[in-house]
Amino acid sequence: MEARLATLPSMRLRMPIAYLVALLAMSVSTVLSALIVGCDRSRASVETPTRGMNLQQINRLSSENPARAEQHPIQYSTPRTPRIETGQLDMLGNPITVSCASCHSNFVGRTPVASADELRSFHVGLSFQHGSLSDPLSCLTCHHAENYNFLRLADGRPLEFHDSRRLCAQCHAAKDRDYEHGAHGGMLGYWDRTRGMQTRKTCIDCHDPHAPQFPHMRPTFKPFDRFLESPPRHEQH
Amino acid sequence: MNNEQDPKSLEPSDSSRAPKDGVNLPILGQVSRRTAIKGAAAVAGATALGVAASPMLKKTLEMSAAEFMQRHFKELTDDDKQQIFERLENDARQQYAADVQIDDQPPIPGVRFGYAINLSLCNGNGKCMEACHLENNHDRATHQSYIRIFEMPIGTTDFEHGSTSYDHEVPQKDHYYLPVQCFQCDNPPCVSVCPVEATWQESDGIVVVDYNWCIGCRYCMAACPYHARRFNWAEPTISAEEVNPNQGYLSNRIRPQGVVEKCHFCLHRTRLGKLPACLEACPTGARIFGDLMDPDSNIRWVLANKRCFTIKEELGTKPMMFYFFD
Repeated sequence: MEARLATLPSMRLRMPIAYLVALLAMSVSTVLSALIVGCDRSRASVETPTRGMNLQQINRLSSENPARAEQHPIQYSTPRTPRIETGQLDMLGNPITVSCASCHSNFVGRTPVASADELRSFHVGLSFQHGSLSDPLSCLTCHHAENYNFLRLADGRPLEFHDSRRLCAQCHAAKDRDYEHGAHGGMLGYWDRTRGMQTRKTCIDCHDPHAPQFPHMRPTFKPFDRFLESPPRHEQH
Repeated sequence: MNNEQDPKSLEPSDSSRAPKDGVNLPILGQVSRRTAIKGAAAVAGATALGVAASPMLKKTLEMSAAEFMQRHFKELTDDDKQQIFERLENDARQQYAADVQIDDQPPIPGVRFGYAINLSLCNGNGKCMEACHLENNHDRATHQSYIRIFEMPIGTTDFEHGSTSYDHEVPQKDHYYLPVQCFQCDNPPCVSVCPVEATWQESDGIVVVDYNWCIGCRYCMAACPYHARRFNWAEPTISAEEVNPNQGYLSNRIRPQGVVEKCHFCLHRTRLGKLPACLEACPTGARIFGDLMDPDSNIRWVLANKRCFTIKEELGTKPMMFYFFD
C-alpha cells in the first residue's frame, strides 16, 4: 500500500510532462513544416481585384485606370469582287475568268429567274437556299440589276462586294451587332489590342451567301478516356 | 594446392557442425524447413514490395539533386527560376529531343480573365479539343486534351444525360453541344484541398499547377465538380517535331508522370495579350474571351447583353466560364 502511494505522485507528474513534451514536439514540427513548405505568398497576396465587388465598383475601378494605350486596328476580311470561270484555259493553263458585267451587261431588263434550277448556261447547279417561302429572295434582291459588278442594298443603292457585310446586316441586324462585339464570327490574334492586331472573318467566309446555313461537320478528334469504354455488361438474373 | 581443392569438400565439415541430438538451433548453415519457408516468404514479400515501389524508386533515381531541392514556386527568385527553366529545357532535349523555351509569364496587373461560349453556335465538331492537344503538348497516345464536349439532349444541363464519345455527323437534331474545361473558379475547391499548395489561383483568376510540386495525390481531381483535371498516368509521349516549343512553366510544358494537369486559359499566350488556342481554332466562332475588368471588352458586352449561366452554380464555385444561348 505504501509502495503504491509512493508511485502515484510520480505517475501524476510524469503524465503531464509527457503531454507537454508531445505538445512541444508537435508545435516545433508545425513551425518547421511551415518554414519548409510555407511560402512567402507574394504571388498569392495579390488579392483578386474583383472579389466581393459589384459591377458598379468594377466599372469605377476600371474607368479610373490611366488613359488606354493606342489600340491596334481590327483587320477585317474583305471579300473580292467575284469573277466567273468560263471553263476555258489560257496559254499557261490558268482558267480564264470574266467579270460578272461582261455577260450581265447584255441581260439588263430580263426577267429575273425565280429559282436556281432555271439556270441553263451559267451558274448551273448553284444551290440557292436563302430565305423562306414566305419571304422569297431572288438574284436581284442582292445583286444589282444595272451593274452586276455591284451588290444592291434594299433601297436600291449599289454596294461594293468588299462591303458585303452591310448587305447581310440589313436582315441579320442582331447577328451583326453580336459580330461588332466579338460575340459572333470568331477572331484570330490578340484579345488585348494594345499589344497586337486582331483579325476577323466576314459573313461569307463561313456562310455561303446562296445557302448560308452553317454546314454539318464530322468530328475529327476524340480523346481516348478510360471511362468512355463501354462498361462490362452484366447478365440479367 | 589450395586452388585445386574442391569447394564441395568443405560441406561435410560444415554439416558436421549440426548437433547430433536432432534439436534444430538457429545456427548458421543449418536450415530447417520452417526457417526456409520463413525466409522464402520474407524474400517474396520484399520482392513484391520492391516491385510495387519501383516507380517511386525509379523516380527518385531519375530525380536530380537540384530537382529534389527545388523550393515552392512562390519562394523562387528570378535567378532560381532561370536555373529551373534551363534544367527543364535540358530535360526536354534529352527526353524528347526537342529544343524548347520555357518561360514564366506573370499575370497582367488589373486583368481578370473571363470566357464565354455561345451554345447556339457550338456544333460539337471538336476543333477546340484538337487545338488544345497540339498547343499544350498533350500526350499523343491518349489524345489528351483539357476540353471535353458533351452531346446533350435539349432541355437539360445534367451531365448524366450527356455523351462525350459521340462519333457521327454534328449537330444532331434535338441535341446541343456543351464544351467543358477548367472554369478557373473564383472559389476553387481544388485549391483548398491540395495538401501541399501545388495548385493556386493567380491574380488574373487562372488556377495554376506547379507540376514539380504536385505529389499526385489527386485530391483536386476528386474535389473538382467539373472533371476539369487530368492525371498523367504515364510519361507523356510526343514526337520531337510535334512539341510546341513556346512553353510556360505553369502551363504547357511537357508534364512529368504522376502529376495532375488542367486548362490554364493558355496563360503563356493570354498573358501576352493573345487569344487562347481553342478560341482561334473554333470554326463556329462560339468562343468569346477577354478581360472582365475592361468595360469595353467583348466578354463584358456578352455578360451585359446575353442571358449567361454557369454550370452547377449552386455549388458556389463561381466559375469564370459563362454559357449562353441566343
